[in-house]
Amino acid sequence: MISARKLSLVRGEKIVLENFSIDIQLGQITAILGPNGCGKSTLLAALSGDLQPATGDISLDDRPINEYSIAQLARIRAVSSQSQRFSLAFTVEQILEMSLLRSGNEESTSNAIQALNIAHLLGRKVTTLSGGEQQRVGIAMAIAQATPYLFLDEPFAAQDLESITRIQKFLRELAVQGVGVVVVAHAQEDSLDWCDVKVRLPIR
Amino acid sequence: MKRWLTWIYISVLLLAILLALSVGASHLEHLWQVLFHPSARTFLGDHNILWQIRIPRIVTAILVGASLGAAGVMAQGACNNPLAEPAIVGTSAGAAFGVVAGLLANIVTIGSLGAIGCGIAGGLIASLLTLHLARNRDAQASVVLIIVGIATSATIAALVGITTSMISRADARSVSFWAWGSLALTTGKDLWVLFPVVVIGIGAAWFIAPALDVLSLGDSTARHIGMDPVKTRRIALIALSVLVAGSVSTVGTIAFLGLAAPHIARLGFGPRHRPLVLHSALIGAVILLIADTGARTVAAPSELPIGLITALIGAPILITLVRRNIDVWRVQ
Repeated sequence: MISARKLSLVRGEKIVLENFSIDIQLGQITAILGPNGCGKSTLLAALSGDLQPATGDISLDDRPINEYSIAQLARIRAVSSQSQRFSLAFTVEQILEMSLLRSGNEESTSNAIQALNIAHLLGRKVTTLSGGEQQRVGIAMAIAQATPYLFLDEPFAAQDLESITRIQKFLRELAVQGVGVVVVAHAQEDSLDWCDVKVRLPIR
Repeated sequence: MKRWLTWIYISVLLLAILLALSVGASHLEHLWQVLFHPSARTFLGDHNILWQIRIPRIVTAILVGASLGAAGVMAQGACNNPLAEPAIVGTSAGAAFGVVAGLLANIVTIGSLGAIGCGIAGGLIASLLTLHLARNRDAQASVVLIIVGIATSATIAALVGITTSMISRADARSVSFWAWGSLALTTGKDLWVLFPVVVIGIGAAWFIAPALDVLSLGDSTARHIGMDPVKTRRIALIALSVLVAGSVSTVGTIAFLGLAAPHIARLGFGPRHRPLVLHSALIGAVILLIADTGARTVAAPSELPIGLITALIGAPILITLVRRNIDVWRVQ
């Protein structure tokens, strides 16, 4: 379990979240909701070990998350960030290969390719893809790592309805298999019925 | 990978070697006899020119060109920026300052291993200084890095100019040498020092190259995948400093080659850094050898600064290739 207690998170000069606590359970899909600027992505960065909280503690299986090395964390959680950009003209296949540095295998990659419907893009240069296609590649990279926790920052932002439905179905399957999924979403609470836990961040 | 293209570059290099052997300020009437019978002393004049001047210079051009080609891959990969090159991120100026400071302090002689050591220290300190000054909170912003690198290079290059004018030793090089580079003063002795340094530098670049593939996805994605971007960048900068110091301490600063060679190689061989290190080194060697042959023959018996010729050859090739294939590196 990832457990955050009495967190205060700061971005630049601004306090984006104060005295906030949350638990992320394996086998559940947790949605983090809220309007722009309320600190959803900042919270995701903290929970995934990318950002040190100003105050408060985050632990992963009862051990402070900042005690894990970069390699250890990569075997435990995968992250698909909203700001993923591809600068070099690697093929999608090469990009997916790279994501398997610490965890994941051929089977998990093949599942990710199917779930994200990117089989026809494997030979394409990633720099020539549309924004939505690049986002699907970014999500596939995270899923291919087959880690116990999966963090997705606004995974549906640039997707059509068909892709959204397919990805949601796959994330549900992962949760059934025991993966703890955290999704940052803009959506209204009633459109997130496929999630187990909905956490709405306070507006500051 | 396009093997046929590799063979084309190797063939061009062989042709460039043949050309460089055959032309120069003096015409060698017995070139082939003295080339294939190095122990014979029949044509002493031709023998001395070929074996003591021309061949060491050709080998130096190949080694320095290979160094700068591989160094460019390290600079662009470490900074994740297509505009990065040793002369922009401060490494070349730092290496030049390291060597000049060593000469001023009378602790090294030009072309020695000590001079290269001073160059490595100077290049590494300058590159790390650029990275440190460009540190933008917890992220390494690529644009900031280039701007800071240009400013750092300009400052250190000015210090090199000032320091050079304070040295009165006979073996000291001119301000023009450190600014534009020249292979005119290279000797066979330099090669014994330069060769192992280039091999070590290219070996280190080869070692860290796969990590640079991952680094191209950005620092945070690299961390998510399980690779330490700070450690990777440091190792790449050490490889960069070794490659640049060997070259700068032997032939001065040659800009542009480290920028052009990786781009030309990337267009033919794709973005993977490991094949890129070798092919960029090969292309760097080809360009520098042709440039040096031009520098010593176009206005013979006078010599042109080599940096002018590398720019003249490399820039049009680079512009043509990049215009035809602009999706190789997308600038964010």
